[in-house]
Amino acid sequence: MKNTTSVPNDNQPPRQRVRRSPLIAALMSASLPGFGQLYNGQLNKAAWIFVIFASLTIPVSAAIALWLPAPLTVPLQLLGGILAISVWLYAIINAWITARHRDNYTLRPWQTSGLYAVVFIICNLITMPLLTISVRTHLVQPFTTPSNSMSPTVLAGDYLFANMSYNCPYCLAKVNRGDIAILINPNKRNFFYIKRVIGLPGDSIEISNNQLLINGESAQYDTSDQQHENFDRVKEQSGNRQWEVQWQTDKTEDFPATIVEPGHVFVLGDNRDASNDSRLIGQIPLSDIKGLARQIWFSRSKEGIRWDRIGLDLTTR
Amino acid sequence: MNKDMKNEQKIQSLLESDLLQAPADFSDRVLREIERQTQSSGADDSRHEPDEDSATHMIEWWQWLAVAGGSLVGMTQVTRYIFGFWLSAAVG
Repeated sequence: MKNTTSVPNDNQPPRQRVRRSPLIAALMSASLPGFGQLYNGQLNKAAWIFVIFASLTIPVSAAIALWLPAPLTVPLQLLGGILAISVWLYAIINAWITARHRDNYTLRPWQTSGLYAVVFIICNLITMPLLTISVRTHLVQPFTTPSNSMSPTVLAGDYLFANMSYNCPYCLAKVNRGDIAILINPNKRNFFYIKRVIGLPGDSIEISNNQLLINGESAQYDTSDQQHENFDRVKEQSGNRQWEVQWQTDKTEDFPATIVEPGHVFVLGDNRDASNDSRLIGQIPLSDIKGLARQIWFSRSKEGIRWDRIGLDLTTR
Repeated sequence: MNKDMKNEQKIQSLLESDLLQAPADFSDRVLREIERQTQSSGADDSRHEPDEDSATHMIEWWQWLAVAGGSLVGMTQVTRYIFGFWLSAAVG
């Protein structure tokens, strides 16, 4: 692996001259971008490659996506992934090429197996997993819906991004009526629900003959553009927000008037007959509202990929 | 004044003497000495060479194992970092 000769130095012990292996350099950069550059003695370059790979690709694109309109969420996440792959490939190729020209390289004093081990553990096994958790918990997290409780807005088989910077003092988004929220299942706290926020703290919520009443005022209804043979679908509007709901044809749904408690919200699924929501599980503490559904990034059914649903903006539905 | 004159005389005598000249066979003698030393160190090396070779070979084998194992773990982590972002949690 090494052909070593000693270089005499008047005042210090002779430092080894070695030949750098391109294969080892490339493998090291493949296992951790910048690691191969460390092997080649390029300390500054190694640090910058790692910083760019770990923080300036996926995390930054996720953060930027939350400041821009919801339809840009998916393209920005794709861009972040492409950038990360590009930096990774660059690190591998650059490490290979640089090592090929290091036939008679003087080992730096800090280039020891112990340093390599410490850097690998800190960067690969600690920093990157923490960054992943941080991005998913505080910025953007992907979800998939196996149920139709939010049909016709969100269908089973939809994959969506949610804004996790939601419902907190320094968050970018606050809870509003009509939001499609990701919340903790009150009965199984390791699982999430996706429901629409209908009642805010202090509101009076009632359903009478399939009509929603908020603070005594009926929501406005209009015929939906998408009709289904087994369901009645209508557009329901409260304030300046409009969404679509459905229930089984000729089925009447009533829910007695209830006041939303302070620090809680009342949630409903858009598929009013097939939703385990506040009518059954009770009002949801605001602290359990975790994310705001933002954009669908993929959708498939038994019949195949639903291309027309990819990219749908859920913040306006 | 006398001291100055004595110093000047000393300097003058040094300037008048010729520079040292190397012997005619100096180069041959140096090369022969180098060759002799090389042969004696080669004889020493040949006695210890098999042991050093096996130790070096063992170290290299462990190094390659560390690189291979670390690469496997590392590449798994890197791909998980890039593509794991798209792993979706289920919402009911």
